Amino acid sequence: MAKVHLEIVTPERKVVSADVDELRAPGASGLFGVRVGHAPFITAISPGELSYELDGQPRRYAIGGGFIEVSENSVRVLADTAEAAEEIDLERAQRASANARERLKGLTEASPEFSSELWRVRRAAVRIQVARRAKV
Amino acid sequence: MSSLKAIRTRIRSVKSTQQITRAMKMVAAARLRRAQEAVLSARPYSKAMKGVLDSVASRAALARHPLLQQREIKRIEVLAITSDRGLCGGFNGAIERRVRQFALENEGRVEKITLRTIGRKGHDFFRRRGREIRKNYPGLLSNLKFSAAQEIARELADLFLSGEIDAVMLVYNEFVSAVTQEVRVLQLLPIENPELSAPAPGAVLPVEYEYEPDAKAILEDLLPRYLANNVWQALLESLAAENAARMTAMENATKNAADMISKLTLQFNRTRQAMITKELVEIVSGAEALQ
Repeated sequence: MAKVHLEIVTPERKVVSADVDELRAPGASGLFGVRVGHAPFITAISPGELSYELDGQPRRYAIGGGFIEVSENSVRVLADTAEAAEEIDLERAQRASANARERLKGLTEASPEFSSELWRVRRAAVRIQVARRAKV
Repeated sequence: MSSLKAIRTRIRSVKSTQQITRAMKMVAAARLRRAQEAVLSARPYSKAMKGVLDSVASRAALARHPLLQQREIKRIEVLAITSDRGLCGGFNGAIERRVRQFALENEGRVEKITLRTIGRKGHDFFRRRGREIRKNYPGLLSNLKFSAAQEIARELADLFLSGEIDAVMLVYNEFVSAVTQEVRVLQLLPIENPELSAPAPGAVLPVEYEYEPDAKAILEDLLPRYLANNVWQALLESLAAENAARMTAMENATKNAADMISKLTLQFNRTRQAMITKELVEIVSGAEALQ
């Protein structure tokens, strides 16, 4: 079967370049799947898990912020951050999550830091989720 | 003629200088490798981002985003990227010259050119010249982070949107190869609308994408990232170029020291030989006088 070329890049480095059968990614309006021949579209990323299979092994990434560009036979993920599930330090993620939550409590919705803190809480939650799922 | 002792001291001093320059060269080479890797691995992202921007912004209805607005340019902000440390050849001088040239060329046409600097060398240079520096970012280069680039991009975008400045130029050294750096002047703001520049003949038209949630939202999300990424890329380029320049400079210094040592050694040997000859002549003529 024809494969989809997947590329995940962040401002710091190219994280993944692989040919896959299928992948699932978190778009602005929900999780979506891509196979070869998908209609071209561009979506914003909502923080979440991107997953695919390579050589029979499931691969999971926690991605946050950025865009996904889908063309006929390739997918380009421009993410602010992308971490492989194995790379995530669960304890650190939990600490970060707790810290961000704590800070968020002290803020009101009107304050300028609110949205960035909220973003941090969401990202930390995603990382924890992805790391946990990879362990099972 | 200098005494043997003086020459010997001189040789010793040049040798220790050479040791330092050699060590610096090696440090620069190691840093260059890391910086080069960072630049090269950041380039795919920049390229991909430019591609997405082109395809989104080429939809005419969207070209009116405030960050894409070309207006009459009265005030220009120049962001000059130099290094914190010296001993890197013409690296900082090239930036300083280019900024001054830019100011000379444009001072008559626009109301005001303001300056902000990254890197201690550039900051010190322009302050000595009595140029007003609107903002400096100390300590940024020693620990380069993407969030710093984001911060700078946000500040500049805010200034642009508030109408305080009409254009932002980035002046930095681009890393071409380990032996070449090139000064680049990049217009950061307003973002040049790709739609306005005519597509090259025969160019493949971009694919018509669908957008989620919609093209406008994507563009709004994309532009700040695009700016931040341009600043980030410039910082990485500059850092790699700095280390490449330092490596070359230190390599030359090491070579010059070696030349100097061999010249001094020759002079030392000649002087010593001259003294021996002189002593011999004295002994021989003394002995002859006795006969």
